[in-house]
Amino acid sequence: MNAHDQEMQDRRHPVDEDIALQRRIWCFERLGWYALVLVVILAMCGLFSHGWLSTTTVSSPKKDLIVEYERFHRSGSVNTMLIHTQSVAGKTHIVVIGKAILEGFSVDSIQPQPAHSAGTQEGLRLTLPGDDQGTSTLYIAWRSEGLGLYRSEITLEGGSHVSLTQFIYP
Amino acid sequence: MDAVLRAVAMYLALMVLFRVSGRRSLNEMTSFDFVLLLIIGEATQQALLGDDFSVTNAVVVIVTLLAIDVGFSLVKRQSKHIEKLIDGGPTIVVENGGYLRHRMHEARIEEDDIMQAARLSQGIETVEQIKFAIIERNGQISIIAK
Repeated sequence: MNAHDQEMQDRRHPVDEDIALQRRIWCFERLGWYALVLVVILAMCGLFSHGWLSTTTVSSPKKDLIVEYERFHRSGSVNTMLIHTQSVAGKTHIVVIGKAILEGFSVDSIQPQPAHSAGTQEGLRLTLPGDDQGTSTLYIAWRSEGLGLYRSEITLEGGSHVSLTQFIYP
Repeated sequence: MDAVLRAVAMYLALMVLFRVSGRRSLNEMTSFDFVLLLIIGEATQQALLGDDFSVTNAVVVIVTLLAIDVGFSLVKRQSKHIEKLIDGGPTIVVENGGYLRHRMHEARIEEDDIMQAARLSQGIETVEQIKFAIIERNGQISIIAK
């Protein structure tokens, strides 16, 4: 028996030791430190919102609908979504935000104010004025209120649609 | 319901995190540890209460935390094994005037920590005067002189 093994023997006096269990606890502590560092690194990368793992852009094949959004959200926090649309110059753009997203999020603010908005069976129908180049950009601040995974769609009426996958942490 | 779930989740998360960070007695807390605890308390408060600052919510959260705490103490009384898993056990780090260095290394205890505890509690000058130094379950180092 070497010095290390001898040292790691249980003592009965003056306290009753369980070194095997204590070593497992120390091992758990060490693994825990690595886990803490991993959590910090993943948080920096955006696993818990705001970072390259979270911030993403999805665009339709025709590039007439581009949505910038966060994949990961934390319950109660506010994140911005940008919706760029491209259509015929001088005409209004009608964007339909699928109802799935509205079940997990509420609209905190919306800029610019749409010319017209209506709730439909498909979701929220927003009418946006296009500029001279036929483009428009909508800024929506979403407050996360649900929990878990949400798959939703944003549609440019008479054009394309894109699918979004978002996850809300508790 | 969500107040109870919040309290349970935060209790368990804090228990695991403090277990990972290792034992440290309140007596041996540095001023930075104290500030750290205040910040942790501040960060926890938001998660525990959410947007609801009502008296009812606060009472529900406090009752839940106390219920879990009492529940754990009852479970610990039932099972010595679970008690050791949650609180750890005492560990001898100095035996008959000699350091048990492998144990000290794994427990992240330095010679200076032991000698400080020896000086503070017993007025001991050298390690040879120590019969036993024990890391207690609360993280304090107790000294038994020769």
